[in-house]
Amino acid sequence: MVTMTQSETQSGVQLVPINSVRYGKKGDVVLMMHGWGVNLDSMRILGELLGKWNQVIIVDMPGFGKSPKPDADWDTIQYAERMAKYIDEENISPAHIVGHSFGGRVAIRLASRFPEKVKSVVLINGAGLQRKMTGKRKFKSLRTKFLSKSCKALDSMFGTKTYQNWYTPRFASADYLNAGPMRNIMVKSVTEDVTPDALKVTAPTFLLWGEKDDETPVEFGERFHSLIKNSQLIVMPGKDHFPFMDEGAHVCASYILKFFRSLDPTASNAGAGEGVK
Amino acid sequence: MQNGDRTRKTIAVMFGGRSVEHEISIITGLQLIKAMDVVKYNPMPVYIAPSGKWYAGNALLNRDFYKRMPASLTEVDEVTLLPQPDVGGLTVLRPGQGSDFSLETGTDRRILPVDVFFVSFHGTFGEDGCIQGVLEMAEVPYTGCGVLSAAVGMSKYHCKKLLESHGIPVLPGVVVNRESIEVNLGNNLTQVREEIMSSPGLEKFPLFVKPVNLGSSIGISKAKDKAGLDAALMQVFKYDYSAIVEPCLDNKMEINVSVLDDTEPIASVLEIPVSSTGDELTYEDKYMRGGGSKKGAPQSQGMAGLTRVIDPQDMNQEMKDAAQDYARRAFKALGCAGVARIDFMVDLNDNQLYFNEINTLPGSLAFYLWMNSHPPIFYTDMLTHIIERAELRSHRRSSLSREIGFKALFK
Ligand SMILES: Nc1ncnc2c1ncn2[C@@H]1O[C@H](COP(=O)(O)OP(=O)(O)OP(=O)(O)O)[C@@H](O)[C@H]1O
Repeated sequence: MVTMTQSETQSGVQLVPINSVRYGKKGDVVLMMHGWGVNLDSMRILGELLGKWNQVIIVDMPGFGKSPKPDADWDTIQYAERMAKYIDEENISPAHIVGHSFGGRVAIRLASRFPEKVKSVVLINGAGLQRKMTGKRKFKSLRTKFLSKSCKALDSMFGTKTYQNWYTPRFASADYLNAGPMRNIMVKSVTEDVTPDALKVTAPTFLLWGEKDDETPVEFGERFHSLIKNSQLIVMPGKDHFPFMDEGAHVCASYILKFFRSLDPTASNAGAGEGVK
Repeated sequence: MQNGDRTRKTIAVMFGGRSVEHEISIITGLQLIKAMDVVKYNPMPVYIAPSGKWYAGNALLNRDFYKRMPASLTEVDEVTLLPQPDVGGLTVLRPGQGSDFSLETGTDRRILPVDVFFVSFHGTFGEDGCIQGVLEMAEVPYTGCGVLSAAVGMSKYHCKKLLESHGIPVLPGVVVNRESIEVNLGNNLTQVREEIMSSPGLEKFPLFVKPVNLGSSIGISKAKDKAGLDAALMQVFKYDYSAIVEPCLDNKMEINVSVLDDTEPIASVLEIPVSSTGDELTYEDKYMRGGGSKKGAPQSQGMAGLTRVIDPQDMNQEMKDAAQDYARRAFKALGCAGVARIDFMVDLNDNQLYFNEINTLPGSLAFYLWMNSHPPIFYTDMLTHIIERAELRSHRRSSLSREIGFKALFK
């Protein structure tokens, strides 16, 4: 058993230091969490725009950018626990949570387990569901699983490295290959299914989806929409897994602000995204 | 929420064009397509190549397409807009590889439906009333200025004269045409020079020479003496057939303001563009110093990449108000629509503000000013507004009666 150090909470989650950038000085707090394999830089343009009406904090998730990797191999529940602590440390509860892809998984965990800290949830091409298997996909998946098991068995019997040298480069995803020391966390995260948590989310939820996405397809957005009671879905034709890249950030910011405004029409961001009327 | 394609309006975003600012227009066009509200609108890229041919197709969305020209041009449909009403969109002249059309389909049925044309050219043929004339003939909704305001806005000289009559301060200036020095070079140049220097306000060097119709600081120069003026004129006539000569402000500051079309036009915050050399802004200053992209290779961001001070806090309020007021008045006096950027110069010796020029289709549509205005307006919402204004104008135009029947002919 690990002894509890000062940097651990009661639930045991390590208080990994969180690097962040901030935009804006007035309005509601918006906490933004990026996707796998990138860092807070990926959300800067969107953060700057949302910061015109809100106080925006974009964090480097532990293990990415300038936030160190946790000692243990966290699952997304532990990520959510760390972010819940962060919300307390910064005294920003309740906050709007914006999560992209992997950050979306954490957002769902956070919103279902710490509802009092979450004012609303915005998922941009959020991850966290398992794909529905088509016949072809099922066969492919069974075949890769079989190969993976065979390689591992071979390696343990003969001390070879076929799994590492033959299987991995052929069948592993780019994210997996690039994950380095984060690989175990990645494997944990992609095999998770946040469906039970999504069913428990009560905060108003806005699902914003780039349509040309194979990683977290529109079908995920539709499923989240049916799982989360108080949710709405907007699909953006022509946009991909990173719909907020470059000037695309203006499209996302415009819709997200309209959503915030719909929650609280009297707030300081009233009129945002309204154009010039 | 549903957003099937049948409910989205198709916006033909037109860029490129036969202009020295061709490349900058591509950047402006691709940027605005990325910022467009794709839930409401279906942006269709329409590219006018340097040859003057028109192309449409989604392959035009990748910057790489332009590197692979001319070979890549066969991948997209060659199109045109017929100058007659009720066609309903662009006519496909030659289908590209993998096109929805084929050569067998009769031309009359090879139509790409378009709801609104979004004009995003800079400079000749696109910002000067030419394309606007074609769009008028076709009787389609299009964004931005009409023929007259685009044409007047493009001529630095006519623009100055018109605005002067509306009480907006401008520097004195004369126009010189290329013909006046073409006949017999040596003699006439002296004569032209003398004429220039006898005009009120232009008696002293240094003088400033610039093309009447071009932008992007191409062909401009400063003349310190007679030989310098001759050289400046020779230089400017490489690019334009008429030039404007003004007194040169040696100790000056530039101020730009954007104005957005509305029932009562609104002005953005100010910007002070900053030159890398502490001198006049060069083409490189304006377009080549774009920030690096996230994907590694640096991408030029067009006007949005220029080093500048936006919404300068230390400038006195009177000056800011004056610039915004003159900018709005200039926009109205010229009958502009869409979004414009009005450039002023301040003579720092006496703090006098002068209108310098208007860009009726500014680089990056000056969105970087609007997102920093009070209140901020995101590019997406600004584009929606410009499109809606275009539809409104088109609606008003189509309600005008053009026909009174045949009467005079058969008397
Ligand atoms: N009379 C003048 N005295 C000093 N500098 C001048 C004068 N007129 C123009 N300039 C400078 O020359 C540069 C280009 O001039 P101007 O903006 O008129 O031309 P442009 O090429 O059309 O630019 P744009 O790309 O903005 O359309 C500017 O930096 C401006 O400050």
